[in-house]
Amino acid sequence: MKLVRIISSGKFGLLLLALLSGTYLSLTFGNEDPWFGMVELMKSSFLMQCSMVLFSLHFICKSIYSVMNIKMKRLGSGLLFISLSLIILGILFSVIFRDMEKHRVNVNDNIDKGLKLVSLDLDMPGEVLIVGEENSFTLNKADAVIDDRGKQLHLKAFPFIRTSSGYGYINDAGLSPNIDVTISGQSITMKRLDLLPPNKSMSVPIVTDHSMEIGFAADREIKKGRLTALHYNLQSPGYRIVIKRSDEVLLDEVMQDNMTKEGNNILVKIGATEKWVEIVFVNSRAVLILYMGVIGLLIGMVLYPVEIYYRLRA
Amino acid sequence: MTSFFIPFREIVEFSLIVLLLTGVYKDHKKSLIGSAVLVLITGGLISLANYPISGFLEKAFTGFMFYSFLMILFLSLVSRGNVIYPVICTFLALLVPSAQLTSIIMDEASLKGGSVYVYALLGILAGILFFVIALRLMSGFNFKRFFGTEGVMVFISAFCFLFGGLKEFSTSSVITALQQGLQRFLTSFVINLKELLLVPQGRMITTALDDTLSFFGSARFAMAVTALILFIPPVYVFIKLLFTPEPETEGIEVNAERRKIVAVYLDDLIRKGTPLLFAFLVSIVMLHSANLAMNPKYDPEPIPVVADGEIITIGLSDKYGDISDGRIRKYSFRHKGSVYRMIVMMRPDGEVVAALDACEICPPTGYVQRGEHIICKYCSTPIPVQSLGQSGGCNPIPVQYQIEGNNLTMIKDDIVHTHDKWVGKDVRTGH
Repeated sequence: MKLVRIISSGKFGLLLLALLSGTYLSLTFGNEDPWFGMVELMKSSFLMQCSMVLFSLHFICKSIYSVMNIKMKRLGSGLLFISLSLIILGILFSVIFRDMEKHRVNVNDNIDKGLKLVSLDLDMPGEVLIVGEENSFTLNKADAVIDDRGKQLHLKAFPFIRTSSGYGYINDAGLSPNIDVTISGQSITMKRLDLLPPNKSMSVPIVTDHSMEIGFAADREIKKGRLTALHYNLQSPGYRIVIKRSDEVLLDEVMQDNMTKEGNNILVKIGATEKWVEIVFVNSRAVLILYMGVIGLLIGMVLYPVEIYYRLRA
Repeated sequence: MTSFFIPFREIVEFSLIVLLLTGVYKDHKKSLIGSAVLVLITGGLISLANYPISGFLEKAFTGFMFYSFLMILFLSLVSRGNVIYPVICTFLALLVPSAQLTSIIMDEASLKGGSVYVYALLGILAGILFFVIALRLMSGFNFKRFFGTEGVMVFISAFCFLFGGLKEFSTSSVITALQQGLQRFLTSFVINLKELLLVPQGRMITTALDDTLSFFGSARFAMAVTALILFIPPVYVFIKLLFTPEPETEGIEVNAERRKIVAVYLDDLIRKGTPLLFAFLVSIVMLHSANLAMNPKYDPEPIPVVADGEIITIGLSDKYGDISDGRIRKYSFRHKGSVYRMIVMMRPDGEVVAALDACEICPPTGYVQRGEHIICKYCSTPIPVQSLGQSGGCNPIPVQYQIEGNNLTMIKDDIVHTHDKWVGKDVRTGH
């Protein structure tokens, strides 16, 4: 009982908080991303893991004291404390025991261990107008049907669902053709490239000291005042392909689906444009703990002021 | 002279902190002065041993300085009559400044020669003399009338926020650094949390939860947390002070005596509340300045233009930049000995607008740009950029113009006439 009292005491909580804050602050020196350093410590340092478990225990004990308070059942603070402990444990266990796999696939591709992408429903517009440099083009809907060992599952971006490979969700989506580039007999095939949003281009290193820039080619330029907008047709898109050796441009062409271009010892073949999705499978039991913590924290934040009000009245 | 003045000023600042603490913790005067001297010597020795301070130690010193002032602020929440609290406060407030002072003296000496040491020593001695005299003069003064044990910590942290620090610290705000540090932490933490909560993070997919969580990693939220960190201690101490129970007066029969006791109680509240309010005001001012630093004002120098006959031509895309960058551009021209200023800007809807750098109601001090607003320098009224071109109120007075290709043209007489009509013939918008 004495041990519980010590763990739940404010001084012990402050000590742990100071320890964790001190660790974080020490990581800010000479570290670009100190939080990443903390995550690495959570994975590898037993001392860090113990501190976090103790911090979580501290909140669990505090929540028990709050709920068992003789004068008033402090449900708001009880919920807040238990939620904080769940979040700390959730983060710790997620960081340590998490196992994640990403798969970028087209329709009818096999994903992983008996899983297959059956169909895809993206709210990809046929035409896009992008004004200025700002990207305002994102997808609001990304649904997929996957075959999970004979069972059809509907996968969305959010919320995730349970599959035989863990929790699954759609992380990203795109539109890209298959591209074959042959330079002096050396060949390379590229699939499922990150070409969206359409006003951005991506650079891909290909064979020795050659690089390729690829992006959607605008089919119209619209001017209003001094603003310029670019119109892209995503149903039958054109791609601007630039191949360079160092800074020397060897090929600069706008190509469409199923076209072939040749020149300067370079052969570029473009296949049909296809939609792709990036599906993520995560194996982590801590996800639900973390969600319970976050939801509890939100409810606790509403209940806590009510509790304070009644405490003041009492 | 700076070799004398900087050490003198710093020792005076250190003295004021120690004087305040010894004034409140009177029973521990000797321990406090002893520990302050020890901290100052330690800071100086650290600096001497590691001179020139660079790399990790320099960063560590700066970091320690920023966070030590905040720690003093939070010390106020737990401080009691025990001597350990003012000793910690002395350590936090004096260690790095004393190390930096030593480092600065040595920097100066390496540039100007050994005479710097003599001046610095004189400055330090003068500072010590100030301390000794002030200590004697204030020995009869009851600091406890003005400061509780918590109040003195809050006041010292506010004092350090205002005057503390040398070198880089004197040119950057604690609050800006704290806000940036918090933002760095929150941004990384929120990204990590999104990943752990299985929220999609691809470029093309957005969800409501993603947007909500992103808010907690934003600069605004970091600033809100900074404000909370800064305001909680003084507000807490102030509320605690306000809730000090009133003295028992029920047993006193003489009304005048009762009123006297209550008056003493109220006086005490006001006296002890004043330094806290000062600390609170310092926090507000610093927060405001940090907030402004996040979104600085843009006030370009007017580009002089010459009229070709009656026509003034302005290039919309030239060596001064492209008007489509959304930034305010100012132009000026001379006419009969007076200077007339105009602003040209592109509104968010893509329309280019020209107006006088003056409004119909304020003296013609002009405008500056802050984000999506232009602000009247005289009355500080923020005007949305989208409303440029409309007349009335504190809006810039519109003038007639034409856009031909890459050029905007205005008629000189029209500008002069519009200006004289609204701003007045005797007042010119020139510098």
